[in-house]
Amino acid sequence: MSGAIVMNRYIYTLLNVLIALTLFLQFGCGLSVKQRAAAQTFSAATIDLATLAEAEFTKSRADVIEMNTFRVKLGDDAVSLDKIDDYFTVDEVKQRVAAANSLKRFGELLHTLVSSSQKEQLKIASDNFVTSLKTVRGVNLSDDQAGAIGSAVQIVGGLWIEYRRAQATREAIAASFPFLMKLSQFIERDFDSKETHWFLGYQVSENALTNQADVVQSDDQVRKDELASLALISEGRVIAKRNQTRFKAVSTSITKAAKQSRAALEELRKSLDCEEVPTQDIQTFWANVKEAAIIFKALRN
Amino acid sequence: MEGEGETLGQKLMETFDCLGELIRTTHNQDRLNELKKLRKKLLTVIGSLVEANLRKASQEYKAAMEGLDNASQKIEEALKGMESVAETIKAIGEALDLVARLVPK
Repeated sequence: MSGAIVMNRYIYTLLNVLIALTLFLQFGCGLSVKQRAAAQTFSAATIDLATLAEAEFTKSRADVIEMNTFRVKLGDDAVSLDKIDDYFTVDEVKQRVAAANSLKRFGELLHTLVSSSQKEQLKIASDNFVTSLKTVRGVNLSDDQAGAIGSAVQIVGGLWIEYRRAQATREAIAASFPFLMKLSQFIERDFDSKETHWFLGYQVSENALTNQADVVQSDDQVRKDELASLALISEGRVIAKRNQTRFKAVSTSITKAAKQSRAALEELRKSLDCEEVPTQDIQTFWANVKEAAIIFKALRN
Repeated sequence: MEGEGETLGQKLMETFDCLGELIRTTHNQDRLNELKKLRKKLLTVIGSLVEANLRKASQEYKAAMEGLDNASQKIEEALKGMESVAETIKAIGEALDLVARLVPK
């Protein structure tokens, strides 16, 4: 059997494989527009939550140190210089910042997973493939046929990537769902004013500072004619009030972001479980089928 | 979550605020000293409660974070897998170059 006949058989086998793969992958299972949008919404909400929480865990420790330092200056014996950060120790902050970072990393990776495009790499790879094919002795391809093979390789490669993308997204959400829910709930609990957690820890320093300023002012033994004492009392009150306003606003934003992130996660899981195919996806499907038909027709001529 | 209604932490904070108000309006020194001692005690109680909860929560954070990091690693592997599709096509092209040299005329 001559080399030319062997090579052309290889090409036709390759074409049949491409057709089979295209049909399999078309019916298979890329992410729908709705699923992709749900994943992007969830990623954005999670990154927002993680960024806010990460910054606030660090900031609130600095605030507590500032407020407790002032309590010491105002003579509050309920706070010690040895434990000026109270319950917001470096370890507590570190653990929470690490958890927020982990959440952020997941959000960013999921975003890359559902949004990344390998179109350019596929184009380069398929062009190289066709160039190599044309150099094989005995393979006679017209420019149209070579172009069609390149397009077919790109389509199948693209569909294969979409198939892998959808599979990876489903697996990632199924595996991470309980951890994502928990982390979001833990962050919300920390910043919930009704819980005995981070928020209350902060509130203790803040109320104790205001209270100590009141105590010092009402103490008959403290000389009120000393400008330095009065300035210290006022400054303590200002710091407590300023921090209270800031912390309340940020805590509200964080608890809201945590709720939004969980709602987006539920929505994403629901959409990934859903078998319903939206109209937009059906239109894309038909456009791809038509394109594939034109390419394969060109190749068979 | 501690359910509906006021939590123990909230109740303790309210008590603390009331105590502060009492200290502010009390002028009897003995009574004032007593109230200040009570204030310190109450802050210690609230502190212990918050500290215990935060420590427990840190462990919970750690466990959930480890689970999530495993899932993130899976996504990274999947991303590498997707990149490998173009690499595979490139490799087939290179294999064809090799075949071209072997196929007889």
